[in-house]
Amino acid sequence: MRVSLAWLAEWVDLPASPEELEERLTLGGIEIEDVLRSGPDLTPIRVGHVVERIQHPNADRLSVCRVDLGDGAEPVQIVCGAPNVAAGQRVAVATPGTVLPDGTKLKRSKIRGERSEGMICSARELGLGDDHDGILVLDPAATPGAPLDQVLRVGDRILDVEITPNRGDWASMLGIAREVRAHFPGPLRVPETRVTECGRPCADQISVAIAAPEACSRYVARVVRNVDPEAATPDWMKRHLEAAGLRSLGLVVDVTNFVLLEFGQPLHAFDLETLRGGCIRVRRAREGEKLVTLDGQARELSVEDLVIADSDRAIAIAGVMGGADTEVRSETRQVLIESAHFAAASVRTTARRLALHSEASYRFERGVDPTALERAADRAARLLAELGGGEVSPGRVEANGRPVERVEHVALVPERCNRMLGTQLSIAEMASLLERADFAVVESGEESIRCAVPSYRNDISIPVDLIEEVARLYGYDRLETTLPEGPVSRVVVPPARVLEEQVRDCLAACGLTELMHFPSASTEDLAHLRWPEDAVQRRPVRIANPLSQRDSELRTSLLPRLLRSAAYNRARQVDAVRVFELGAVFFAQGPGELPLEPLTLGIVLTRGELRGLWESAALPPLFFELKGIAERLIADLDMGLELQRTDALPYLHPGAGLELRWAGRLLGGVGELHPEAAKAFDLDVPCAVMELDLGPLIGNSPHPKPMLQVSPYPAVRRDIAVLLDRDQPAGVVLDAVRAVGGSNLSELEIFDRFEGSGIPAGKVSLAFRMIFQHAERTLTDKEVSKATDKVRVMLERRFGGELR
Amino acid sequence: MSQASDLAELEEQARAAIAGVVDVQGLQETRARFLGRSGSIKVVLRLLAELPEEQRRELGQAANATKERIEECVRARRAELESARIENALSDHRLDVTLPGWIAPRGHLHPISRVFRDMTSFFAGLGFSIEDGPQIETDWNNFGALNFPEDHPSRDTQDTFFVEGGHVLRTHTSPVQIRAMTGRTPPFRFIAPGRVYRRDSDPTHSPAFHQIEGFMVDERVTFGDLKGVLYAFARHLMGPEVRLRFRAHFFPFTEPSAEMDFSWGDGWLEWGGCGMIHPNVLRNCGIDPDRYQGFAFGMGVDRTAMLRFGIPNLQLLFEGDVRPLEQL
Repeated sequence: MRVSLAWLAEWVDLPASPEELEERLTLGGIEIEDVLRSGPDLTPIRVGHVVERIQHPNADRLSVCRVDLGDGAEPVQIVCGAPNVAAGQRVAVATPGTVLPDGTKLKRSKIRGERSEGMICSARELGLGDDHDGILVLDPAATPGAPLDQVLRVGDRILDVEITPNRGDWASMLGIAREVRAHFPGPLRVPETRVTECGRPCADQISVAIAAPEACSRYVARVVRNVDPEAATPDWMKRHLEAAGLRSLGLVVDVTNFVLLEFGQPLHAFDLETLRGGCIRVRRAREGEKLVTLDGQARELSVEDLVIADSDRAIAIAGVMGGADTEVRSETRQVLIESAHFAAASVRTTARRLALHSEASYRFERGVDPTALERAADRAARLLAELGGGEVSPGRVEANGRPVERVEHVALVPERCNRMLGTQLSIAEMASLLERADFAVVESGEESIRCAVPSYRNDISIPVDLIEEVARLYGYDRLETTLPEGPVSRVVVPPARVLEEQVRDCLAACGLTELMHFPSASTEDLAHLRWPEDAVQRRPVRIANPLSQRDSELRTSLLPRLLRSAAYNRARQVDAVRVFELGAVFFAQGPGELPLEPLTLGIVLTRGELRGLWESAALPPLFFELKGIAERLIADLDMGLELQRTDALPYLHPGAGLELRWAGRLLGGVGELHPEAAKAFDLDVPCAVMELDLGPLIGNSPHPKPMLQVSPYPAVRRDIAVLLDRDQPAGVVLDAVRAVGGSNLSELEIFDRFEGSGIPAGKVSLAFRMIFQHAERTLTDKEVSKATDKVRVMLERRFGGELR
Repeated sequence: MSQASDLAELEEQARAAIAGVVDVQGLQETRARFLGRSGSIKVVLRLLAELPEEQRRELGQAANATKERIEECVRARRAELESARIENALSDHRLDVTLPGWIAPRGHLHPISRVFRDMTSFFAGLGFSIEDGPQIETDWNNFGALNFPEDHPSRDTQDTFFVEGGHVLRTHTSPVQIRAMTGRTPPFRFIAPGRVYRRDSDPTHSPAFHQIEGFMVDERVTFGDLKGVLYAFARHLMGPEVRLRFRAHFFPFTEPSAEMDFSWGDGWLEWGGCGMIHPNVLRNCGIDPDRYQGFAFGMGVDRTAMLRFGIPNLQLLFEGDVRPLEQL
């Protein structure tokens, strides 16, 4: 809502400084989003003090002045043509470089041979009127150097304010004026609403019936006859409407809008002569009933919608918008003014269903004072009489529905108020704060301060509402800042978060970069990952109102977004993409149940040159880089996760895949991306991926193992190289060596793998390094040889190995 | 005294040989040739047995003295050779030390992860435990229990994503309050960091973003305590000079409610919302609002991350481009 300070000043006395007003309103809960100005911008113009005036040596009508600009420097010389300039004056000075309100940029100049370092301005030059007979002479108390806008209050200042949904009562000049008074006590000047009536009584011209009493608590109608269709909206009213952001649409409509802005009570004006049957009925719409609204749109209504009808048809959507058939036209003379109270929920339902939001619906949704209908109707009638020459028919026609439920009294417990705010306010202080906001204190004591709630405060119903009011008016900034007392219990971190952070650290230590994406993944992308149609991955949880189709399906896998990002980066010359994401994926559960959100890890690697390396270094295939990361993670987690060969995970290359198992359950996969998937994601290079469901692992982290004693006795190294069938999985051989190596075999690794020249076709040479060590003594040669012999024999017998 | 002249000759030969070796290996061999188990000096000593007692003693002493002199000579030559070797190493081994060093690339935690860690560790110091909740929530946890009336404009402020089946993507971390408080007896203090969703996307809004929620309930915790905790937090994040401003505001789930701004340059930046937990919320969680009271606050985390790391636009956090993230 936009609030003109010039208009506001008609209602209440404002503090001298608009900044102070804005600060108090802001702290009190009226958020000022923007400050707009009308009128010229005088901030660049400075106050100057004419120290000396002498006659220009070469021109009779010019003066040469020396002007002090309050900046501590020497007074500047300015040539001035005005007859009224004199020494000692405070004047408005534009210095070189200043842009005047008419857009001229001022320059240094020489006038008839005399330097002029600026201009002493007239009112017209400042955009303040047509007076060009001489310069503008300011208040002699004005401080030299001050910006002119601080000395001359001209133009209007318009605050664009945001009103919280609980304070519908603020959506009017009256409401803002009341709030100003709560901070800066003073009189409230409410516009005149008395009317002079004449002619046929209103009741003879119209009847009103409420058929939906639950949605309309009260309806007030006023009739104004013989409004002059030629009468124009006066400038002052137009200015106020414009300041509020409304267009002028003719006197009658302008008056209803103006009164809405004044009191916050939505009004509607009907052309009385277009109403059929001389009656107003407030009823539910019939299913499918049609109405063309003021904006020219044909609307189809439902039984949920409340309408205003005459004897034949709907003529307005209650509290939302009037109908075109009965609207006030340029020739309208007989006017029916509606001032009614409609239930917030009903207006809201209709406004939302029709996506039709108006000044009226905005206010009804937030709550309108149900006791102030007459005032607004009378005010509008008065203005139509005053400005349009209309004759106000005697009396109002009123009908009542179910009264609005209101809490009339609320009690504040002073001790509780102080306990909640951390204050030591006295009962009198609290009562006085409440009274500033128009709460009438009906009873006040140690036990309670009982207040009457103003009729427009539909947000006040329980004691804490009053505590807030006290805090707000006292000022949050004045509440003492303290730290909580009391015992501090053990700080608990959920096991899922412990696990998540452990995984995050491990992967960062492996050199991966963490990404975060909007958690969507299309079923199409999951098809690209070759998940079969009936896989749970292709039955995502859907967003009913997505921002875009792309983001309508919540992810069941982290891989699609990671792969898209990998492609995005590669398209931008980042060749080695090494990324991971940790987060929830979503799987639908039964109807009504919340989806499952298992914590999941996704990794994508693409191979690029090893950056920053200027000597060639051989790297194993990309698969092993990722496998190394998986093994590091498995070791760090220490929960017994296992890697097993697989060709069954759809997104993995069948010849380069491992599955991750834990306690017999399949939790994920590690391997090269299936080439078809790589193609679908626009990845032209080998890409290794891993996905792991961490959900089942949560809470299973082992206690940290105690550190092992390092043996002080020497370790003995023995290497064995063996020729094996090329198809023989090395991991199986390694496990077998470990199994027969005996308890003294403390380390085992493959340190060389070779095929090709010198090795028979179909064979591969594997070299094992074995480290033997005992915790309590030095091993003998004999012991070590015995163990290695066993390994040799096993390799020959079990694997047909040929020792080299 | 032929043996004695033999010894002299032996010593002479040894000195010459030692002087002639060019490396430590050769020195070892030469030493062995003269002083080893079957070296020349042993041969001389073996002859001693055949000599008369007196001569044997005399010659033995001479032989040992010779041996000791040769050893000394070996030691000296060894030292020479060592320093020559180091000299060679110094002159032969010249690296172009201006070539770049090499290290395996390091990893990068996401700025949001880093900020969350910092925040949770700060609050751990104040005794706040962490509580988590799901990102898809029931309407009750996200709205109803938090005192949003059915069909009220306050729900419009939340730009909610609805999930098929009637649930919502949580619009704030506040539902974690409901989860944490239900079934618990005060006193307690929790924070809830996490991802939330609003149906809003422009250069300054992402439809998925991050918040941290904090709440504390006991019998006496005050609005002043709320201010104190937020001041401490703000100073931790933004330095000791930061100022806070509390503006009255409306949230259905707190009362009194405030929005807080922090000072930034000459102005204020909006930080988040806070207030005393609304009695209806406490009641909805089975906590007696006549006995207990508490505060709650929540703020966006993404902008904190942007300010801390000098990230110029929000999209950089979530679009998957590694180039900005790997600078951090």
